Amino acid sequence: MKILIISLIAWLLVFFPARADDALYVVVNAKNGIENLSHHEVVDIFMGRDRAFPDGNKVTVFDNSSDTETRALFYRQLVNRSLAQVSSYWARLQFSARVTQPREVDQRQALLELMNSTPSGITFVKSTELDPALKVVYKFDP
Amino acid sequence: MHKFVAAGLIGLMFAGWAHAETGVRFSGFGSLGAIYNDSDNLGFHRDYTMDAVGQGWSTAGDTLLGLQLNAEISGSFDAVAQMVFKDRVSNGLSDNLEWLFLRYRPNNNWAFRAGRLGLDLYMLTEYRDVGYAYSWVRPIPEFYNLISSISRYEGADITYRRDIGELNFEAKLAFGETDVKLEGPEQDVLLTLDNILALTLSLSGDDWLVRAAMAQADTSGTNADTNMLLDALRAVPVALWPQAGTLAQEIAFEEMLSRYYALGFQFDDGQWIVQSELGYTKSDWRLLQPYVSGYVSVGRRFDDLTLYAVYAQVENTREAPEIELPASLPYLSEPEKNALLTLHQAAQYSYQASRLAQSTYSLGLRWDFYEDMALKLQWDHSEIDPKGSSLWVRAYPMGHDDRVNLFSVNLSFTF
Repeated sequence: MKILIISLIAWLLVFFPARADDALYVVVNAKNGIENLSHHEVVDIFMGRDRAFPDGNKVTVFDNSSDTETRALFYRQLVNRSLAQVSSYWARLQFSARVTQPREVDQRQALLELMNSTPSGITFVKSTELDPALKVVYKFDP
Repeated sequence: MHKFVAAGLIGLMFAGWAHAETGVRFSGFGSLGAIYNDSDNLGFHRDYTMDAVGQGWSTAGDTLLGLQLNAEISGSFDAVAQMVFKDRVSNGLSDNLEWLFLRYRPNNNWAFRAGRLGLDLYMLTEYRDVGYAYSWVRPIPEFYNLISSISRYEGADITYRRDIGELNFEAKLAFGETDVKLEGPEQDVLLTLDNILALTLSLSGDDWLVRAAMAQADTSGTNADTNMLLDALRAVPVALWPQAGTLAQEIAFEEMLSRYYALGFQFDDGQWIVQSELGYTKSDWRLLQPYVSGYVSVGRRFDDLTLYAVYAQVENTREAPEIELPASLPYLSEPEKNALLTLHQAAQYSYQASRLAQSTYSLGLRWDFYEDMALKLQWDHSEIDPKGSSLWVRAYPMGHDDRVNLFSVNLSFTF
Protein backbone atom coordinates (compact mmCIF):
# COMPACT_ATOMS: atom_id res chain seq x y z
CA MET A 1 0.00 0.00 0.00
CA LYS A 2 2.81 2.36 0.96
CA ILE A 3 4.57 1.64 -2.30
CA LEU A 4 1.36 2.26 -4.18
CA ILE A 5 0.88 5.68 -2.53
CA ILE A 6 4.50 6.63 -3.16
CA SER A 7 4.28 5.63 -6.81
CA LEU A 8 1.00 7.49 -7.11
CA ILE A 9 2.60 10.64 -5.68
CA ALA A 10 5.63 10.18 -7.92
CA TRP A 11 3.34 9.75 -10.91
CA LEU A 12 1.41 12.90 -9.99
CA LEU A 13 4.64 14.86 -9.59
CA VAL A 14 5.88 13.74 -12.98
CA PHE A 15 2.69 14.38 -14.90
CA PHE A 16 1.32 17.34 -13.01
CA PRO A 17 4.41 19.26 -12.01
CA ALA A 18 2.47 22.50 -11.86
CA ARG A 19 -1.00 23.39 -10.73
CA ALA A 20 -3.48 24.03 -13.53
CA ASP A 21 -3.84 27.70 -12.63
CA ASP A 22 -0.11 28.26 -13.18
CA ALA A 23 -0.77 28.29 -16.90
CA LEU A 24 0.15 31.40 -18.87
CA TYR A 25 -2.30 33.15 -21.16
CA VAL A 26 -1.67 35.44 -24.08
CA VAL A 27 -4.34 38.13 -23.97
CA VAL A 28 -5.53 41.02 -26.13
CA ASN A 29 -7.93 43.91 -25.61
CA ALA A 30 -11.49 42.51 -25.25
CA LYS A 31 -12.64 44.54 -28.29
CA ASN A 32 -9.99 42.98 -30.55
CA GLY A 33 -11.53 40.94 -33.39
CA ILE A 34 -8.89 38.21 -33.12
CA GLU A 35 -10.23 35.04 -31.45
CA ASN A 36 -7.08 32.96 -31.25
CA LEU A 37 -3.46 32.84 -32.37
CA SER A 38 -1.17 29.94 -33.18
CA HIS A 39 2.07 29.41 -31.26
CA HIS A 40 4.01 30.54 -34.33
CA GLU A 41 1.97 33.74 -34.58
CA VAL A 42 2.52 34.46 -30.90
CA VAL A 43 6.28 33.97 -31.38
CA ASP A 44 6.36 36.30 -34.39
CA ILE A 45 4.49 39.01 -32.50
CA PHE A 46 6.42 38.84 -29.22
CA MET A 47 9.82 38.45 -30.90
CA GLY A 48 9.32 41.48 -33.12
CA ARG A 49 8.97 39.70 -36.47
CA ASP A 50 5.37 40.81 -37.02
CA ARG A 51 4.12 44.30 -36.36
CA ALA A 52 0.51 43.35 -37.12
CA PHE A 53 -2.10 40.81 -36.11
CA PRO A 54 -2.95 38.15 -38.74
CA ASP A 55 -5.96 40.35 -39.74
CA GLY A 56 -3.55 43.18 -40.65
CA ASN A 57 -4.32 45.40 -37.68
CA LYS A 58 -1.44 47.00 -35.83
CA VAL A 59 -0.10 45.25 -32.75
CA THR A 60 1.33 46.84 -29.59
CA VAL A 61 3.23 44.44 -27.35
CA PHE A 62 3.43 45.00 -23.60
CA ASP A 63 6.08 42.89 -21.93
CA ASN A 64 4.67 41.92 -18.53
CA SER A 65 7.63 42.25 -16.18
CA SER A 66 5.65 42.52 -12.94
CA ASP A 67 6.99 39.14 -11.89
CA THR A 68 10.37 37.82 -13.07
CA GLU A 69 9.41 34.17 -12.62
CA THR A 70 6.33 34.52 -14.80
CA ARG A 71 8.30 36.38 -17.41
CA ALA A 72 11.08 33.78 -17.40
CA LEU A 73 8.49 31.01 -17.77
CA PHE A 74 6.77 32.84 -20.61
CA TYR A 75 9.93 33.15 -22.74
CA ARG A 76 10.99 29.63 -21.86
CA GLN A 77 7.65 28.32 -23.15
CA LEU A 78 7.57 30.72 -26.07
CA VAL A 79 11.03 30.28 -27.60
CA ASN A 80 12.89 28.09 -25.10
CA ARG A 81 15.30 30.90 -24.18
CA SER A 82 16.43 32.37 -20.87
CA LEU A 83 15.70 36.01 -20.03
CA ALA A 84 19.37 36.88 -20.63
CA GLN A 85 19.18 35.34 -24.10
CA VAL A 86 15.95 37.17 -24.87
CA SER A 87 17.50 40.40 -23.67
CA SER A 88 20.58 39.87 -25.87
CA TYR A 89 18.29 39.09 -28.82
CA TRP A 90 16.45 42.37 -28.28
CA ALA A 91 19.70 44.31 -27.98
CA ARG A 92 20.51 43.15 -31.49
CA LEU A 93 17.14 44.19 -32.94
CA GLN A 94 16.73 47.36 -30.94
CA PHE A 95 20.19 48.78 -31.63
CA SER A 96 20.32 47.75 -35.26
CA ALA A 97 17.10 49.83 -35.29
CA ARG A 98 15.07 47.10 -36.93
CA VAL A 99 12.36 46.85 -34.34
CA THR A 100 11.74 48.74 -31.15
CA GLN A 101 11.81 46.53 -28.10
CA PRO A 102 8.35 46.04 -26.53
CA ARG A 103 7.65 48.24 -23.57
CA GLU A 104 8.18 46.51 -20.24
CA VAL A 105 5.43 47.12 -17.71
CA ASP A 106 6.31 46.17 -14.16
CA GLN A 107 3.04 47.09 -12.38
CA ARG A 108 0.01 44.82 -12.72
CA GLN A 109 -2.49 47.65 -12.38
CA ALA A 110 -0.66 49.77 -14.95
CA LEU A 111 -0.57 46.83 -17.34
CA LEU A 112 -4.32 46.32 -17.03
CA GLU A 113 -4.96 50.02 -17.62
CA LEU A 114 -2.67 50.03 -20.66
CA MET A 115 -4.37 46.93 -22.07
CA ASN A 116 -7.74 48.58 -21.50
CA SER A 117 -6.82 51.81 -23.24
CA THR A 118 -4.88 50.22 -26.13
CA PRO A 119 -7.10 48.40 -28.66
CA SER A 120 -3.99 47.01 -30.38
CA GLY A 121 -2.47 45.75 -27.10
CA ILE A 122 -1.24 42.23 -26.43
CA THR A 123 0.47 40.80 -23.36
CA PHE A 124 0.72 37.66 -21.26
CA VAL A 125 -0.68 37.02 -17.79
CA LYS A 126 -1.11 34.28 -15.20
CA SER A 127 -4.59 32.82 -14.65
CA THR A 128 -4.98 34.87 -11.46
CA GLU A 129 -4.48 38.04 -13.51
CA LEU A 130 -7.17 37.27 -16.07
CA ASP A 131 -9.76 40.01 -16.32
CA PRO A 132 -13.03 40.57 -18.24
CA ALA A 133 -11.31 43.38 -20.10
CA LEU A 134 -8.82 40.84 -21.52
CA LYS A 135 -9.52 38.28 -24.19
CA VAL A 136 -7.48 35.07 -24.17
CA VAL A 137 -6.10 34.25 -27.62
CA TYR A 138 -3.55 31.62 -26.68
CA LYS A 139 -2.94 29.39 -23.70
CA PHE A 140 0.34 27.66 -22.90
CA ASP A 141 0.06 24.14 -21.55
CA PRO A 142 1.27 24.32 -17.96
CA MET B 1 37.95 61.39 -21.79
CA HIS B 2 36.24 64.65 -22.78
CA LYS B 3 34.27 62.63 -25.33
CA PHE B 4 32.57 60.71 -22.55
CA VAL B 5 31.70 63.89 -20.72
CA ALA B 6 30.08 65.19 -23.88
CA ALA B 7 28.32 61.85 -24.19
CA GLY B 8 26.86 62.19 -20.73
CA LEU B 9 25.53 65.66 -21.46
CA ILE B 10 23.92 64.61 -24.70
CA GLY B 11 22.48 61.63 -22.90
CA LEU B 12 20.80 63.90 -20.37
CA MET B 13 19.39 66.06 -23.13
CA PHE B 14 17.99 63.02 -24.89
CA ALA B 15 16.51 61.65 -21.70
CA GLY B 16 14.80 64.95 -20.95
CA TRP B 17 13.34 65.09 -24.40
CA ALA B 18 12.22 61.47 -24.18
CA HIS B 19 10.17 62.20 -21.08
CA ALA B 20 8.62 65.31 -22.56
CA GLU B 21 7.28 63.58 -25.67
CA THR B 22 5.20 60.49 -25.97
CA GLY B 23 6.16 58.00 -28.65
CA VAL B 24 9.77 58.91 -28.09
CA ARG B 25 11.97 56.29 -26.60
CA PHE B 26 15.49 56.66 -25.27
CA SER B 27 17.79 53.67 -24.88
CA GLY B 28 21.46 52.91 -24.91
CA PHE B 29 24.28 50.41 -24.80
CA GLY B 30 27.89 50.41 -23.86
CA SER B 31 31.03 48.52 -23.00
CA LEU B 32 33.72 49.10 -20.45
CA GLY B 33 36.69 47.19 -21.76
CA ALA B 34 40.34 46.69 -21.01
CA ILE B 35 42.80 45.13 -23.45
CA TYR B 36 46.28 43.89 -22.74
CA ASN B 37 48.41 43.87 -25.90
CA ASP B 38 51.76 42.05 -25.62
CA SER B 39 53.30 43.38 -28.84
CA ASP B 40 55.86 46.20 -28.81
CA ASN B 41 55.31 46.71 -32.53
CA LEU B 42 51.67 46.23 -33.44
CA GLY B 43 48.93 48.50 -32.12
CA PHE B 44 45.44 47.02 -32.07
CA HIS B 45 42.19 48.61 -33.16
CA ARG B 46 38.70 47.15 -33.65
CA ASP B 47 38.46 49.01 -36.90
CA TYR B 48 40.38 51.69 -38.76
CA THR B 49 38.18 54.53 -37.52
CA MET B 50 39.58 54.03 -34.02
CA ASP B 51 42.98 54.91 -32.58
CA ALA B 52 45.13 51.85 -32.01
CA VAL B 53 46.24 50.73 -28.55
CA GLY B 54 49.87 49.73 -28.06
CA GLN B 55 51.73 47.47 -25.66
CA GLY B 56 50.36 47.05 -22.14
CA TRP B 57 46.92 47.61 -20.70
CA SER B 58 44.51 50.05 -22.28
CA THR B 59 40.87 50.91 -21.75
CA ALA B 60 40.47 52.98 -24.92
CA GLY B 61 40.21 50.17 -27.45
CA ASP B 62 36.93 48.57 -26.36
CA THR B 63 35.24 51.21 -24.23
CA LEU B 64 32.30 52.86 -25.90
CA LEU B 65 28.88 54.30 -25.27
CA GLY B 66 25.87 54.33 -27.57
CA LEU B 67 22.71 56.39 -27.19
CA GLN B 68 19.62 55.85 -29.26
CA LEU B 69 16.45 57.75 -29.74
CA ASN B 70 13.42 56.18 -31.44
CA ALA B 71 10.61 58.52 -32.35
CA GLU B 72 7.26 57.24 -33.52
CA ILE B 73 5.96 59.97 -35.80
CA SER B 74 2.79 58.31 -37.04
CA GLY B 75 1.67 54.75 -37.57
CA SER B 76 3.92 54.31 -40.63
CA PHE B 77 6.68 56.86 -40.06
CA ASP B 78 9.40 56.75 -37.47
CA ALA B 79 12.84 58.24 -36.98
CA VAL B 80 15.95 56.89 -35.30
CA ALA B 81 19.07 58.68 -34.10
CA GLN B 82 22.05 56.86 -32.67
CA MET B 83 25.27 58.34 -31.36
CA VAL B 84 28.27 56.15 -30.59
CA PHE B 85 31.10 57.62 -28.56
CA LYS B 86 34.42 55.83 -28.78
CA ASP B 87 38.06 56.64 -29.31
CA ARG B 88 37.73 57.72 -32.92
CA VAL B 89 40.52 58.98 -35.18
CA SER B 90 38.31 61.94 -36.10
CA ASN B 91 37.15 64.25 -33.35
CA GLY B 92 34.14 66.10 -34.77
CA LEU B 93 30.93 65.70 -32.81
CA SER B 94 29.06 64.84 -36.01
CA ASP B 95 31.42 61.89 -36.54
CA ASN B 96 29.86 60.35 -33.44
CA LEU B 97 26.46 60.43 -35.10
CA GLU B 98 26.20 56.85 -36.21
CA TRP B 99 22.73 57.04 -37.69
CA LEU B 100 19.99 59.53 -38.24
CA PHE B 101 17.22 58.38 -40.49
CA LEU B 102 13.57 58.62 -41.32
CA ARG B 103 11.73 55.40 -42.03
CA TYR B 104 8.46 54.68 -43.77
CA ARG B 105 6.83 51.30 -43.21
CA PRO B 106 3.51 51.19 -45.06
CA ASN B 107 2.93 47.56 -44.00
CA ASN B 108 4.66 44.54 -42.53
CA ASN B 109 6.49 43.75 -45.79
CA TRP B 110 8.14 46.97 -46.88
CA ALA B 111 10.44 49.50 -45.24
CA PHE B 112 12.07 52.55 -46.79
CA ARG B 113 14.80 54.52 -45.01
CA ALA B 114 16.70 57.66 -45.83
CA GLY B 115 19.41 59.56 -43.98
CA ARG B 116 22.62 58.37 -42.37
CA LEU B 117 22.32 54.60 -42.26
CA GLY B 118 24.16 51.45 -41.34
CA LEU B 119 25.29 49.36 -44.30
CA ASP B 120 23.84 45.94 -43.60
CA LEU B 121 26.62 44.06 -45.33
CA TYR B 122 28.05 41.50 -42.92
CA MET B 123 26.09 39.79 -40.16
CA LEU B 124 27.19 42.13 -37.37
CA THR B 125 27.74 45.38 -39.22
CA GLU B 126 24.57 47.01 -37.93
CA TYR B 127 25.20 46.10 -34.28
CA ARG B 128 28.98 45.74 -34.24
CA ASP B 129 29.34 48.10 -31.26
CA VAL B 130 26.57 46.46 -29.22
CA GLY B 131 28.72 44.00 -27.28
CA TYR B 132 25.74 42.82 -25.27
CA ALA B 133 24.22 41.39 -28.46
CA TYR B 134 26.97 38.82 -29.18
CA SER B 135 29.24 36.43 -27.31
CA TRP B 136 32.64 37.80 -28.30
CA VAL B 137 34.31 40.87 -26.87
CA ARG B 138 34.24 42.45 -30.36
CA PRO B 139 33.44 41.52 -33.95
CA ILE B 140 36.15 39.24 -35.40
CA PRO B 141 38.88 41.64 -36.63
CA GLU B 142 39.96 39.52 -39.62
CA PHE B 143 36.46 39.80 -40.98
CA TYR B 144 35.14 43.08 -39.61
CA ASN B 145 38.02 45.56 -39.24
CA LEU B 146 37.92 46.82 -42.77
CA ILE B 147 34.19 46.66 -43.37
CA SER B 148 33.28 48.19 -40.00
CA SER B 149 35.37 51.19 -41.01
CA ILE B 150 33.13 51.97 -43.95
CA SER B 151 29.76 50.61 -42.97
CA ARG B 152 27.76 53.71 -42.35
CA TYR B 153 26.72 55.94 -45.19
CA GLU B 154 24.43 58.70 -46.32
CA GLY B 155 21.74 57.40 -48.61
CA ALA B 156 18.63 55.28 -48.71
CA ASP B 157 17.59 51.66 -48.56
CA ILE B 158 14.58 49.51 -49.30
CA THR B 159 13.74 46.36 -47.37
CA TYR B 160 11.29 43.70 -48.39
CA ARG B 161 10.44 40.88 -46.03
CA ARG B 162 7.92 38.09 -46.14
CA ASP B 163 7.10 34.80 -44.51
CA ILE B 164 7.68 31.66 -46.50
CA GLY B 165 5.86 29.06 -44.45
CA GLU B 166 7.54 29.27 -41.06
CA LEU B 167 10.63 30.92 -42.52
CA ASN B 168 11.41 34.58 -42.85
CA PHE B 169 12.88 35.98 -46.06
CA GLU B 170 14.39 39.45 -46.33
CA ALA B 171 15.96 41.40 -49.17
CA LYS B 172 17.55 44.80 -48.81
CA LEU B 173 18.84 47.16 -51.45
CA ALA B 174 20.95 50.14 -50.41
CA PHE B 175 22.61 53.03 -52.20
CA GLY B 176 24.55 56.05 -51.05
CA GLU B 177 27.97 57.50 -50.29
CA THR B 178 30.28 58.13 -47.38
CA ASP B 179 33.61 59.60 -46.40
CA VAL B 180 35.63 58.63 -43.39
CA LYS B 181 38.95 59.30 -41.68
CA LEU B 182 40.93 56.15 -40.97
CA GLU B 183 44.13 55.22 -39.19
CA GLY B 184 45.99 53.03 -41.67
CA PRO B 185 48.89 50.72 -40.75
CA GLU B 186 51.41 53.56 -41.03
CA GLN B 187 49.46 56.76 -41.48
CA ASP B 188 46.02 58.34 -41.58
CA VAL B 189 43.92 57.98 -44.71
CA LEU B 190 40.91 59.94 -45.85
CA LEU B 191 38.57 57.64 -47.70
CA THR B 192 35.58 58.46 -49.88
CA LEU B 193 33.08 55.93 -51.16
CA ASP B 194 30.74 57.03 -53.93
CA ASN B 195 27.94 55.18 -55.69
CA ILE B 196 27.69 52.54 -53.00
CA LEU B 197 25.29 49.85 -54.10
CA ALA B 198 24.56 46.92 -51.78
CA LEU B 199 22.20 43.97 -51.86
CA THR B 200 21.58 41.69 -48.89
CA LEU B 201 19.47 38.53 -48.91
CA SER B 202 18.68 36.52 -45.83
CA LEU B 203 16.56 33.57 -44.83
CA SER B 204 15.95 32.59 -41.23
CA GLY B 205 14.16 29.98 -39.20
CA ASP B 206 13.67 29.78 -35.45
CA ASP B 207 17.23 28.62 -34.79
CA TRP B 208 19.21 29.59 -37.87
CA LEU B 209 20.01 32.29 -40.36
CA VAL B 210 21.75 32.25 -43.73
CA ARG B 211 22.63 35.39 -45.61
CA ALA B 212 24.41 36.55 -48.72
CA ALA B 213 25.48 40.08 -49.49
CA MET B 214 27.23 41.90 -52.27
CA ALA B 215 28.24 45.50 -52.58
CA GLN B 216 30.26 47.80 -54.75
CA ALA B 217 31.56 51.33 -54.47
CA ASP B 218 33.78 53.81 -56.27
CA THR B 219 36.55 54.38 -53.77
CA SER B 220 38.91 57.33 -53.54
CA GLY B 221 41.45 58.17 -50.90
CA THR B 222 44.35 60.35 -49.97
CA ASN B 223 47.23 60.13 -47.59
CA ALA B 224 50.46 62.08 -47.30
CA ASP B 225 52.98 59.37 -48.24
CA THR B 226 51.06 58.24 -51.30
CA ASN B 227 50.74 61.81 -52.50
CA MET B 228 54.50 62.32 -52.19
CA LEU B 229 55.17 59.08 -54.03
CA LEU B 230 52.75 60.06 -56.79
CA ASP B 231 54.34 63.49 -57.19
CA ALA B 232 57.76 61.88 -57.44
CA LEU B 233 56.64 59.25 -59.95
CA ARG B 234 54.93 61.84 -62.13
CA ALA B 235 58.06 64.01 -62.08
CA VAL B 236 60.31 61.25 -63.48
CA PRO B 237 61.24 62.05 -67.10
CA VAL B 238 59.68 59.51 -69.46
CA ALA B 239 63.08 58.73 -70.97
CA LEU B 240 64.45 57.61 -67.62
CA TRP B 241 61.55 55.39 -66.56
CA PRO B 242 58.78 55.07 -69.14
CA GLN B 243 56.60 52.93 -66.79
CA ALA B 244 56.55 55.51 -64.00
CA GLY B 245 53.40 57.18 -65.35
CA THR B 246 51.45 53.91 -65.55
CA LEU B 247 52.63 53.04 -62.06
CA ALA B 248 51.32 56.37 -60.76
CA GLN B 249 47.94 55.61 -62.32
CA GLU B 250 47.74 52.29 -60.50
CA ILE B 251 48.74 53.76 -57.18
CA ALA B 252 46.56 56.88 -57.43
CA PHE B 253 43.41 56.27 -55.47
CA GLU B 254 40.66 57.89 -57.47
CA GLU B 255 37.30 56.35 -58.20
CA MET B 256 38.64 52.83 -57.99
CA LEU B 257 35.90 50.24 -58.10
CA SER B 258 35.85 47.91 -55.12
CA ARG B 259 33.51 44.97 -54.69
CA TYR B 260 32.50 43.03 -51.58
CA TYR B 261 30.92 39.60 -51.34
CA ALA B 262 29.89 37.87 -48.13
CA LEU B 263 28.19 34.67 -47.02
CA GLY B 264 27.08 34.08 -43.47
CA PHE B 265 25.58 31.32 -41.38
CA GLN B 266 24.32 31.31 -37.83
CA PHE B 267 22.81 28.57 -35.69
CA ASP B 268 21.58 29.05 -32.13
CA ASP B 269 19.30 26.52 -30.46
CA GLY B 270 19.69 28.05 -27.02
CA GLN B 271 22.56 25.73 -26.14
CA TRP B 272 24.93 25.70 -29.08
CA ILE B 273 25.84 28.82 -31.01
CA VAL B 274 27.65 28.28 -34.28
CA GLN B 275 28.48 31.17 -36.53
CA SER B 276 30.59 31.49 -39.63
CA GLU B 277 31.14 34.05 -42.35
CA LEU B 278 33.18 34.10 -45.51
CA GLY B 279 34.03 37.19 -47.50
CA TYR B 280 35.86 38.21 -50.66
CA THR B 281 36.91 41.75 -51.42
CA LYS B 282 38.13 42.82 -54.82
CA SER B 283 39.56 46.18 -55.71
CA ASP B 284 41.10 47.81 -58.75
CA TRP B 285 43.34 49.82 -56.48
CA ARG B 286 46.88 48.46 -56.21
CA LEU B 287 47.22 49.37 -52.57
CA LEU B 288 44.19 47.34 -51.50
CA GLN B 289 44.75 44.00 -53.12
CA PRO B 290 42.00 41.36 -53.32
CA TYR B 291 41.59 39.26 -50.18
CA VAL B 292 39.47 36.55 -48.64
CA SER B 293 38.54 36.43 -44.99
CA GLY B 294 36.48 34.18 -42.81
CA TYR B 295 35.90 32.78 -39.38
CA VAL B 296 34.22 29.92 -37.57
CA SER B 297 32.94 30.36 -34.04
CA VAL B 298 31.49 27.63 -31.83
CA GLY B 299 29.93 28.39 -28.47
CA ARG B 300 28.14 26.38 -25.82
CA ARG B 301 25.87 27.79 -23.14
CA PHE B 302 25.78 26.51 -19.57
CA ASP B 303 22.98 28.47 -17.88
CA ASP B 304 24.37 31.99 -17.63
CA LEU B 305 27.83 31.06 -18.91
CA THR B 306 28.78 30.86 -22.57
CA LEU B 307 32.10 29.34 -23.60
CA TYR B 308 33.32 29.96 -27.13
CA ALA B 309 36.23 29.32 -29.47
CA VAL B 310 36.95 31.09 -32.73
CA TYR B 311 39.30 30.56 -35.63
CA ALA B 312 39.68 33.43 -38.09
CA GLN B 313 41.85 34.09 -41.11
CA VAL B 314 42.49 36.77 -43.70
CA GLU B 315 44.73 36.43 -46.74
CA ASN B 316 45.40 38.24 -50.00
CA THR B 317 44.42 36.06 -52.93
CA ARG B 318 47.62 36.74 -54.87
CA GLU B 319 51.18 37.91 -54.42
CA ALA B 320 51.91 41.62 -54.53
CA PRO B 321 53.01 42.54 -58.08
CA GLU B 322 56.74 42.98 -58.59
CA ILE B 323 57.67 46.28 -60.16
CA GLU B 324 60.34 45.92 -62.84
CA LEU B 325 63.53 47.90 -62.38
CA PRO B 326 63.87 50.80 -64.80
CA ALA B 327 65.79 49.56 -67.89
CA SER B 328 67.76 52.78 -67.94
CA LEU B 329 69.56 52.07 -64.64
CA PRO B 330 72.95 50.83 -66.01
CA TYR B 331 73.34 53.95 -68.14
CA LEU B 332 72.72 56.48 -65.37
CA SER B 333 75.05 58.46 -63.20
CA GLU B 334 75.34 57.36 -59.56
CA PRO B 335 73.00 60.08 -58.05
CA GLU B 336 70.34 59.54 -60.72
CA LYS B 337 70.58 55.80 -60.28
CA ASN B 338 70.16 56.10 -56.50
CA ALA B 339 67.21 58.45 -56.84
CA LEU B 340 65.44 56.09 -59.23
CA LEU B 341 66.21 53.03 -57.07
CA THR B 342 64.80 54.78 -54.01
CA LEU B 343 61.65 55.65 -55.90
CA HIS B 344 61.34 52.09 -57.19
CA GLN B 345 61.70 50.83 -53.66
CA ALA B 346 59.08 53.24 -52.34
CA ALA B 347 56.62 52.18 -55.02
CA GLN B 348 57.29 48.51 -54.29
CA TYR B 349 56.85 49.15 -50.56
CA SER B 350 53.50 50.82 -51.17
CA TYR B 351 52.33 47.55 -52.78
CA GLN B 352 53.32 45.69 -49.62
CA ALA B 353 52.17 48.16 -46.99
CA SER B 354 48.52 47.12 -46.92
CA ARG B 355 48.99 43.39 -47.35
CA LEU B 356 46.84 41.13 -45.20
CA ALA B 357 47.98 37.74 -43.94
CA GLN B 358 47.12 36.56 -40.47
CA SER B 359 45.16 34.04 -38.48
CA THR B 360 43.80 34.21 -34.97
CA TYR B 361 42.73 31.64 -32.40
CA SER B 362 40.42 32.92 -29.70
CA LEU B 363 38.96 31.49 -26.52
CA GLY B 364 36.43 33.29 -24.44
CA LEU B 365 33.78 33.28 -21.79
CA ARG B 366 30.62 35.33 -21.43
CA TRP B 367 28.81 35.49 -18.11
CA ASP B 368 25.31 36.96 -17.98
CA PHE B 369 25.62 37.73 -14.30
CA TYR B 370 22.94 40.39 -14.02
CA GLU B 371 19.95 41.70 -15.95
CA ASP B 372 21.10 43.49 -19.15
CA MET B 373 24.77 43.06 -18.25
CA ALA B 374 27.41 40.61 -19.36
CA LEU B 375 31.00 40.16 -18.29
CA LYS B 376 33.39 38.75 -20.87
CA LEU B 377 36.93 37.43 -20.83
CA GLN B 378 38.75 36.68 -24.06
CA TRP B 379 42.17 35.59 -25.19
CA ASP B 380 43.25 36.09 -28.81
CA HIS B 381 46.44 34.67 -30.24
CA SER B 382 47.30 36.07 -33.68
CA GLU B 383 49.98 34.82 -36.04
CA ILE B 384 50.84 37.49 -38.52
CA ASP B 385 52.86 37.16 -41.66
CA PRO B 386 55.88 39.56 -41.68
CA LYS B 387 54.28 41.14 -44.75
CA GLY B 388 50.65 41.00 -43.73
CA SER B 389 50.10 43.15 -40.68
CA SER B 390 47.89 45.89 -42.10
CA LEU B 391 44.99 45.21 -39.72
CA TRP B 392 47.31 46.68 -37.06
CA VAL B 393 49.06 49.98 -36.67
CA ARG B 394 52.82 49.43 -36.96
CA ALA B 395 55.32 51.13 -34.71
CA TYR B 396 58.19 49.97 -36.94
CA PRO B 397 58.25 49.18 -40.65
CA MET B 398 56.93 45.72 -41.40
CA GLY B 399 59.09 42.63 -41.32
CA HIS B 400 59.13 42.27 -37.55
CA ASP B 401 58.42 38.87 -35.98
CA ASP B 402 54.75 39.06 -35.18
CA ARG B 403 52.85 36.85 -32.82
CA VAL B 404 50.50 38.89 -30.75
CA ASN B 405 48.40 37.99 -27.74
CA LEU B 406 45.48 40.10 -26.62
CA PHE B 407 43.76 39.62 -23.29
CA SER B 408 40.42 41.35 -22.89
CA VAL B 409 38.10 41.97 -19.98
CA ASN B 410 34.82 43.55 -20.91
CA LEU B 411 31.60 44.59 -19.29
CA SER B 412 28.79 45.09 -21.80
CA PHE B 413 25.41 46.48 -20.95
CA THR B 414 22.21 47.99 -22.30
CA PHE B 415 19.76 50.37 -20.74
